[in-house]
Amino acid sequence: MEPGGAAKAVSQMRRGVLEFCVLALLRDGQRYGVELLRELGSVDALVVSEGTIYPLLSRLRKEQMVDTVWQESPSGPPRRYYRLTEVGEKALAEFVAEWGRFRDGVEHILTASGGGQT
Amino acid sequence: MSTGADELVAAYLRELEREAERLPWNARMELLEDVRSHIEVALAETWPDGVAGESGGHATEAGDHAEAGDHAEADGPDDTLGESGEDPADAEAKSARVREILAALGEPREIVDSAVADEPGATVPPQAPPPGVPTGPMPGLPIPGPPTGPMPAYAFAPTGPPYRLGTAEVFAVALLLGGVFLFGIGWILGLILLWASPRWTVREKLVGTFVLPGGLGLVVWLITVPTSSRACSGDSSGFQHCTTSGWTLPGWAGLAVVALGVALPIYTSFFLVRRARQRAFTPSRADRAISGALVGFLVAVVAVFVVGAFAFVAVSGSGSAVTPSHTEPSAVASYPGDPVPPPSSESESAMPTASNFTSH
Repeated sequence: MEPGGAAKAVSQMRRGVLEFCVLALLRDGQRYGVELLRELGSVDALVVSEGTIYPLLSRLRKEQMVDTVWQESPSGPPRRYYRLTEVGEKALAEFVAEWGRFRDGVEHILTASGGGQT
Repeated sequence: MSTGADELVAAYLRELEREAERLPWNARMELLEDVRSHIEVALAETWPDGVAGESGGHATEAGDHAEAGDHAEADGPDDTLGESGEDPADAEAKSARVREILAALGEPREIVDSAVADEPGATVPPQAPPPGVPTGPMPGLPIPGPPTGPMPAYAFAPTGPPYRLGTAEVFAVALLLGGVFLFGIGWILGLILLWASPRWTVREKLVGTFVLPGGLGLVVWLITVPTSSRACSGDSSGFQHCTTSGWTLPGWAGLAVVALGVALPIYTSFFLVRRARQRAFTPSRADRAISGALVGFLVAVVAVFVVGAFAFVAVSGSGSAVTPSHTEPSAVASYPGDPVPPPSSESESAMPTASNFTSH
């Protein structure tokens, strides 16, 4: 397999998974963009360009998985906070269940085939 | 010499704006606002949070400066990044930090690419409304009866911008424009609401305050002051002393001033409404307070009318018990030598000639 193929696959996976990571980060309460990115940044290779999180957040808002509030901050400019809606909670719960099956399945096949990829 | 932090951010946002022309108007505005806000927030948080490791020992020094001036300078996008009056080392550190922030954000093209992928309506030409936005009834129009049209219910759900205005914002804009006519204090109330709202940035609030102070009242004041300051007083010898103070403008300049005086406040109103609608609707405390006050006011008015009506019925029911101090309206109108001229006859006789000319 060419190396570009693996990178593309990872990039597509990241795209698909990232939105649920965002939803998961909002489970414990509302957060603003910079805060979300700080959390996501602590996980390697999850976010490549921070700016791309904003179109993603915008889509989540349109799909009513999150809603947003501008709030003044005691220091500095106002922050736009994102918080999980009921729709978002439901979507997250579904993904968490699916993700477990998906991860186990992929891992099972990758390990069972004895590392033929290398 | 390093490029100023201001210019770096401005150049980045310009490029982002250019790239974002591929997006529908709403999505473009939101993305620009989000990224601009991200840069501001990231910069404001840099020093108070103490990321001393990134720029070595210098960052802690800069941190002390930044913390001290934080409240004053961190609000306005233009003022935030200004480096006038700072020593060059601070400016250098700020520029370096801005470069980091922008690098982490990624290339504008990349961001817009991902926005295009996320935006189903992204391929439509700019300015066309995205398919998700209801193009049906205007917000101000009542929807008669139950909704029988093909419009699905979710189309009315408050999703993307433009968001609706809160009561506080509506009152702020209306009072800033015409509030000065409400005993003069209306404009001040508008000002308070403007500055209390989280849906305008400091820069927008400054525009709302200074373009123009008093709203439409300023131009009215400008028109009336030069004429009304001509004060005449007749003394006992029969002479009339007239003093003209103030100033009068030549016709064309006066016209220009009046045109500006009317246009600028109206423009500001549109500007404020447009900017507020780009930010999500959140019922603020001021909003609830105003709604409460309005309801209270209406209740009070109704109560006064009801009590007044009862009092009237009670007084007229008891007949002769009318208080003698009650002033009849006829007493006011019956001054001798002050006949009320029939206003209609004169104005009507004057009008037809004028309208005859204009109608041709």
